[in-house]
Amino acid sequence: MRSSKTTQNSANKIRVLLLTAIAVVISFFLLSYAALDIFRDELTPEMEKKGRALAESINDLVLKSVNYGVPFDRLRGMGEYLDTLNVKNPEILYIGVSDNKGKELYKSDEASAAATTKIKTTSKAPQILPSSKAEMIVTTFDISKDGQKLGTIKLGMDGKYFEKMVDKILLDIVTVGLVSLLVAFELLSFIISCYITSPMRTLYAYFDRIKNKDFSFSLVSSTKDEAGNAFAAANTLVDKINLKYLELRSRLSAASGDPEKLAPLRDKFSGIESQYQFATGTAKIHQPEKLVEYIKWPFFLLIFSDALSISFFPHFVNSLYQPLFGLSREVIMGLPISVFMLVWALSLPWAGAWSDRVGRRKAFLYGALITGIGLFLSGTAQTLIDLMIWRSLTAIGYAIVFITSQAYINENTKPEQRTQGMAVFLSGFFAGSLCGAAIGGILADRIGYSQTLFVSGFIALIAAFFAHKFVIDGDLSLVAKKTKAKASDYFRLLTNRHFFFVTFFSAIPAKIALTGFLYFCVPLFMKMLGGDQSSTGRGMMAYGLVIVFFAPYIASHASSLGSRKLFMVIGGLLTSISLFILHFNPNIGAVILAVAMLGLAHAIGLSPQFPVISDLCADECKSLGVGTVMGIFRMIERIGNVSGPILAAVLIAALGFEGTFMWLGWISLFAVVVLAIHLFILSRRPVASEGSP
Amino acid sequence: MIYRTLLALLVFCWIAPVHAAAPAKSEAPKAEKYKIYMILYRGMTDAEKGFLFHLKNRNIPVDIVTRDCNKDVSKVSEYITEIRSMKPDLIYAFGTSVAAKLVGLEGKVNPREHITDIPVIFNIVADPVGAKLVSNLKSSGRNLTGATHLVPLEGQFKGFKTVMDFKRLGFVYTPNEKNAVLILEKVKELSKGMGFEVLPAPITPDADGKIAESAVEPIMKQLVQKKADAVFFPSDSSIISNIQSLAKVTMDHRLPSFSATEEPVRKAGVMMGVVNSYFNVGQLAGYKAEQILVKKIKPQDVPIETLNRSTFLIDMKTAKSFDIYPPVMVLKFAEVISQ
Repeated sequence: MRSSKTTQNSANKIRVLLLTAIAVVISFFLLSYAALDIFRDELTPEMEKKGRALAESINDLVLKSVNYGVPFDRLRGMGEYLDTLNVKNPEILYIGVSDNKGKELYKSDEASAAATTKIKTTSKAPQILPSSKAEMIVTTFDISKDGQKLGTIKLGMDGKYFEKMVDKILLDIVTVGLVSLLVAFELLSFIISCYITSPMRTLYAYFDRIKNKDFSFSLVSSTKDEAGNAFAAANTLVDKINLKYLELRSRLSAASGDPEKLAPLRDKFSGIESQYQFATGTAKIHQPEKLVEYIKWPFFLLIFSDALSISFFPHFVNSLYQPLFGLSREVIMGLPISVFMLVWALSLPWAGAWSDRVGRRKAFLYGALITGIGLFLSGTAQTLIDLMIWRSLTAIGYAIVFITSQAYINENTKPEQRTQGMAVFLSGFFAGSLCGAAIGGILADRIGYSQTLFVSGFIALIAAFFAHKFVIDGDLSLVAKKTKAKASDYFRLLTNRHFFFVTFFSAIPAKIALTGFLYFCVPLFMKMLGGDQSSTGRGMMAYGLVIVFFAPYIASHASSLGSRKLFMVIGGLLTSISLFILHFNPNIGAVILAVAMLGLAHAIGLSPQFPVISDLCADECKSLGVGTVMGIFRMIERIGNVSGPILAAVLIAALGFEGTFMWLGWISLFAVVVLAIHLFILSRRPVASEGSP
Repeated sequence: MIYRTLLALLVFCWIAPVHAAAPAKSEAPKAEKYKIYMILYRGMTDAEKGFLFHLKNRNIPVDIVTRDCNKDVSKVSEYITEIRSMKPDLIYAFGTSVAAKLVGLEGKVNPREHITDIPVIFNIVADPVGAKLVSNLKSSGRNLTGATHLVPLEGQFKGFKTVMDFKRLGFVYTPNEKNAVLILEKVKELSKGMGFEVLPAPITPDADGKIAESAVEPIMKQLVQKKADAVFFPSDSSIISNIQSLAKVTMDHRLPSFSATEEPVRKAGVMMGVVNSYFNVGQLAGYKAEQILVKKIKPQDVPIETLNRSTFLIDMKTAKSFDIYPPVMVLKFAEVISQ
């Protein structure tokens, strides 16, 4: 019964997703074609305008020289000059100047022979061929001085230029399409959760109550949609029953007559009263079902908004570069990222406590607002100090949203469903991250870094809005008061060998690879290789994509301690391999491969980390509480987040990029070897910390 | 409540970037005038005009005292005595020899002979390091800074080569002028990498400092014999003062000529030069005076600089007479003198 329901659920889910996909894809293609058509129509006149402008500047220079006294046919260096124009305008196939008898005197040296012949045959009459279907768009311009024609400029532009331009941005178009799909899915899931799943669950829960003979509750039916109508219908039904009960009761108590006949009735009635519950007076409100999924869309949006700048942030820092504290340029470029990580890490405990106090809805709302403002102001930064201040503000908001979302999920899932809850959290995080990275790169190429940050701020505000409207707080008094970890707790954990090795030789290196390599090195290295923001964004997207695809599979296979240990080691190995590959093949393809491999490494190696710790440090988890141990683990792990960019920067300053990749590869390898030795050779069974009974 | 917070935050957003972008307020000049003592070498040149123009433009109130040593550097000693009693706020010195006499060469400063306690700005010094006035252009380490007018030699010759190729270049100079001798050595160095040979052609002015056409004749004949393709006139004040006769004879011998300074091209028909206009360099010196007088920066903290952009001067009439036409891309940016 249960399994057929779940398969039915999955089948329905797939059906819905498929429908959405088809709808999005069709509209996307229609839109794209319409845009391309408009583009094509606008392109040709623009190309003609450009041709004229170029011809005019050539004319101006020629006349200037002639006015200085240079004979028209003795102009020197025309070939090189026309070449410079050619180079700046790749759609130009040919530029030439001929005398007033039509003999070609000068042409751009780069002009292909084929183009030159084409010019000779098509330039009988000066005209512009209107459709871009032509091979070449020809513009001519007469050079005249004092009313006398000296010669003619001929410009040939590529009729196929339009197609070539579209080819170039095809990748971007596809990326935008994919991201649109993802965003549509997320939004659709959210809407379904809010307006369909939740009401239905509420209704079922309500009927469960009725099954349990409890008619004392009623539903809130204020919305005018199907859910509201269904609720109202249910309420009407229950009201009728309650009314009947009240009626019966009053009739019975008011009845006079034969006591012998009445007594059994009264007994029966009390019997019913003891079994059933009815609404007397004002009915109690049946709370609507709060779904874990409510948080996913706002969280996705928030992560998306911050991730927009991932692909170009080091470049943005570079543009504001100023010498500071005598640090090298590379270290200064990594500083804002490290500062962000540090402020984020330090804010988390405080943010968690505050979020517990004010409730998830308020906390998320304010967190998102702060993030939005921080992002917006980051875009206005004029100096590095500005930027770091606003980034810190963003980090505070980010921490609030992060911890609130995690807590919300923990509070709204039963313990056995925690992994699923985590999966909601993580998939929202990575989906937002990869969409943001891809779109951010494309945006930055077109509207600039600051402007993209303004857009980020705006999207974060939208996230705030959604949280404000849809996130529901639970009963605040029920939130467990978390005990703060004391320094002695930290010490106790750190002296546990297992904790120490897993944290320092698996978790921290992984975070160093994330912030140092992915967030810092990759954008800079891509730029050095000549990639633009869009390709950088796509490259960084690979990380999130791989994780989103593979993490569920990995999770289902990493169930035993043995396999978890193995996965951690594999993760570390993959990380070092990816770095070595990049060291030996410093090209754009290898960057994307390395990023994808890092994604795989993290998909495999990250999720087993804490389960291994909770297995091997069972004593500590029992006495300190799993939550505390996790908190300490995450806190120490963030050392990796914070130090990653700085470490990478120092390495780049000293060794250059390729040297840095090699060193990072060796560091990873060393860490994983040490880890493997510890996990598989040195310790055969779980060890408690020294001094415990 | 939430809307109020939003409003407050929005207002904050408006203020923050405006504040960040607020420009620094410009300084108001002092009410009293700054006393500047200017020592000229050969009268008022465009350099001095540029210097004074900058100060006027910036509304800096100045009291100017001018002394012209009229090519006699020994007069500077008299001026030093006058300076010590007058105590001006700033001293302006034209040219290497005046500056050297006024402040002394680096390491050879004698507080009794030289001025060590009043800021000195030199103008139109070709090579302060080579002339041993300073060892580091970033700071003289003493009460000295200034503006140099020389375009880096490599830039000059690269420019010349775009207009005409030359394999043998005559270098006309007066051996007494330290400047010129230094530059000759540098050009010799440069010539190796740029594919031409330097033919030094020293010429000595007479007792009055004049160079007559008759004196130039044998020099040019020699250069023609050595198959010179062109002639170069460096930043040499005797050469510049006698440029008319020099240029005429050079033209008569059908030799195209290049100059490191602007006067020969503008006034004597020398074919071309990659130069910094004296007027613009003067403005740069004026800017440095502003740093010292108004911003109160010490001279040792004001670097010695030249202009970032130079001018390609071409006398088209001369070029045409040689049937030489500069490439169009040079003509695009060059300053062309006559038709």
